[in-house]
Amino acid sequence: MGSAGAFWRISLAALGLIAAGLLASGCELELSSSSTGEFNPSAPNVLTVATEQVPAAGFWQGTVEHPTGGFEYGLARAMADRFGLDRVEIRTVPFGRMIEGDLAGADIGLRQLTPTPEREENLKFSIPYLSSPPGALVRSGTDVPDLKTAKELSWAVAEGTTQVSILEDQIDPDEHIVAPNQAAAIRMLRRGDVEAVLLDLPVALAIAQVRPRLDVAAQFSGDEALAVALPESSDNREAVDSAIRAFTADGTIGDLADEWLGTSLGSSSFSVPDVPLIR
Amino acid sequence: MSLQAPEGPAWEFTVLFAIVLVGPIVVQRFRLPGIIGLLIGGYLIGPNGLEIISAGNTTIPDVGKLGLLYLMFVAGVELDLTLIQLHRRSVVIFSLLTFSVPMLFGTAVGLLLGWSAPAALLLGSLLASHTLLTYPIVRRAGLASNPAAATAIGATVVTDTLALVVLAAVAGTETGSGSTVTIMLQLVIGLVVLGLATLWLTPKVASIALRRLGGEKTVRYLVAVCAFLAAASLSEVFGIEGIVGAFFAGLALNRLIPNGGPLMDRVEFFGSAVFIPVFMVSVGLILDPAVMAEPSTLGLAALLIIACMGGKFIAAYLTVPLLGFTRDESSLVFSLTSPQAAATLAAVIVGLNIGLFGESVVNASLVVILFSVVLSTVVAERAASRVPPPAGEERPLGAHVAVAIEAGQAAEGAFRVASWIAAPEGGAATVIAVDDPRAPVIDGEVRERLDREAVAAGLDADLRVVHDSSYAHGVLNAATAAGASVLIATSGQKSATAAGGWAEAVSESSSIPTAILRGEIESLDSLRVMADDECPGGSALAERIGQRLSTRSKGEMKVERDLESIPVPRPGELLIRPVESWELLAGLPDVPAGAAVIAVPDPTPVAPIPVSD
Repeated sequence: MGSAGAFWRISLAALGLIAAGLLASGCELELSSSSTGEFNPSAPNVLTVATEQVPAAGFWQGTVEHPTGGFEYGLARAMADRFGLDRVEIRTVPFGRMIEGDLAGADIGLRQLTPTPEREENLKFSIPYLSSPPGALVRSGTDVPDLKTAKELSWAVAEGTTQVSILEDQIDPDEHIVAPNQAAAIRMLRRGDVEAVLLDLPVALAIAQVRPRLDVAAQFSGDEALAVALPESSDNREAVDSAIRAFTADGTIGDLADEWLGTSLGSSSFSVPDVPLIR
Repeated sequence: MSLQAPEGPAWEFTVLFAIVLVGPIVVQRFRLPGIIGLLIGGYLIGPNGLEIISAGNTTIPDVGKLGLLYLMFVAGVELDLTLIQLHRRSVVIFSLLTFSVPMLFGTAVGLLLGWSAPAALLLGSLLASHTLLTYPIVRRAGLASNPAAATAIGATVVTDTLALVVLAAVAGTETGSGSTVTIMLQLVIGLVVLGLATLWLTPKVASIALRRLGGEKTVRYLVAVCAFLAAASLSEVFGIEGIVGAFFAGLALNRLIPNGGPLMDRVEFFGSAVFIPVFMVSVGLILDPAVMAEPSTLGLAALLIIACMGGKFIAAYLTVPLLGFTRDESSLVFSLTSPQAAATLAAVIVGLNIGLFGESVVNASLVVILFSVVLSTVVAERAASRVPPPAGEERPLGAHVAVAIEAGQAAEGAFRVASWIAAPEGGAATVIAVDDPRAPVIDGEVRERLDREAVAAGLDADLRVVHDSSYAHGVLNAATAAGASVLIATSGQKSATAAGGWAEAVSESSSIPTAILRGEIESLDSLRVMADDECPGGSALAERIGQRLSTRSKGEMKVERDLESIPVPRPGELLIRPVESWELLAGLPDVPAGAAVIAVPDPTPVAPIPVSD
């Protein structure tokens, strides 16, 4: 009985010590009042978002001053609602500057960004909101049934994007051009200078939806994904990550993809059954 | 030569399984549980570590989700449901205490921190559950049947079920669409449908599937896998987390997959080698030491430890005045119900995935898990050394049934009777087939037939072929090695049960309660037990066997004392008779088709069999 009593006294003392330690450090400890991390906006009651341009097919509609829709705009609005912010303000920043860490003072960057080790030196990235394997955008009538055919096509790819290395390493075509930006690559395709453009699959699908005579002919395997960028010094990543998880679980992201990218999403991966997958 | 950096699924799985292999071995050298090695390994290869597995990778998290479902299925299937029946009152009282006190404390902590009500409730529920991590220590000390330990083990079923119901309600309201009333209605309907489908329908369907298709070991395992995946899918149809369905399926198949049986071995093998470690590694992928070391995370962890350990401590302490346990027993109860591992991790990951918890809560929970595992192990070791093992405790008859059959004889009837005896306890079974080494007749084909017949009779049995020129020696050695709680020896030959036959040899030398079965019974319509005052041990054992079988009998069990005549059982009737002398048994009439006689010799007075499970 005596030893059992000692056990209980030791156990109570251990719990008491933890409590005392906690109280002693209480003055310096600031426990989060949110179970999902707190979001502190740079401007009161406003979610400031950096992107490259508005409109951007499928992702941003309207203008910078009056955005009207799009997948990423919808995502930003949902985040603002979740964080209790009144509105979304947009700032446009060139892609090259964004990946170098300049978000022009915005809270987050939303521009179909894929995290890479180089980019992570300048920016923080959230968990992915869409997986984005590479997709081949072609003029209607061009088929890409296999890798051999893909190799024989002439390709364009936008400079500075993750698709450059994917095109060169995974497809390794006989002929390819690195265009200064995405818009230039698509112009080359429409003019007939190249036969295909390599893009993130969600981006390719969104463009094919709004551009007649352009189709997505193939998707390639890969674990690239689109994520929200945050400034290097931001403390908001946990809150943004939780928001993305919540939007995935409650179907918000699926609904946005359905509405703006024209495709339904599985629970964890972005795979379009109608587009042939080339491994 | 064009060499490429390794990538793709083959490389990812190589890294993953290297962690599964090495992680636990490394940390066990530091006397830490293997789970910690898996979590650290996951961190090392994940996006916060060496980034071999990128943040965008979906393969490992997807396999991890399957692992989470498997984990909850195993948690349900390996619980000992018999303990709830044996200690009903104490299990109900204690499970309500050990659920509600930490639940209350956890919810209060969440609300005091300013969290939303669903997040606070989910926090409460994850601290209220527990995992029987220290059970092996208690079992090793021979305390598995101690009333306090049995109460804590039985309470796990109720506590974890209640915690999962809270989780289902919280997750459902967070991810569902429509009004709160609609969502709650859908959840209630979902839980009722899920309960009916798993606890009532699944055992029936699985039993039929096992009987009809279960000849192959692989098929038997796949029936179990399909059952829990179907239950998980069904729960998701109603917006209930899949882990709830998987756990319910585990409870539903608890009796069909007895602990210690070959199917349970396979379930545990794949669980511990593949699915569960992969889940643990996938949790490690989100582990971030930078977040874990932050003062706010450690502060949160300290609060959770106080709420959880404090709640479990109070619940255990209250067993002294409420249930009459000693202080040492209540510390044993605390050591069994305080470890936070599988169930907590499952709930916290669900909270993370639905956006109710952030990474700091997950990291704080991992600190709680580590703390609770270390504390409960220390307490369990101390408490187990102070609580005396139960003296002369009688082992449940159906805990492990050994069926001895003669090569070449029909065995289905014996398998059926063995299955009826094992079923109430969800006990394991071993089929012992003795073959003469001078003229062996049991080949691969016979083994397959025996396997098929055992499964068709509803017996999940391990088949052991023993080559021994002495049938009695072969049976006794194999039954003792298997740790049998009862031995059913069967023979089609009357000479076997005559004086000097092998049945006498077996029963005279056996320390295991033994019954000799004659006849092939298909359906148990009536049950008759004959008592003999001159054979008290045999009569008591006959009555115990009768009570086991009475749950399967269509008619009531009749106990008779008229031993002047030896009745002939009718078809569909099973007669259980103590045997005072083997000469008397030789006088047993021929058993008609469809009936059977169990002869129960007076047990040999030897020391009780040590409790091994």
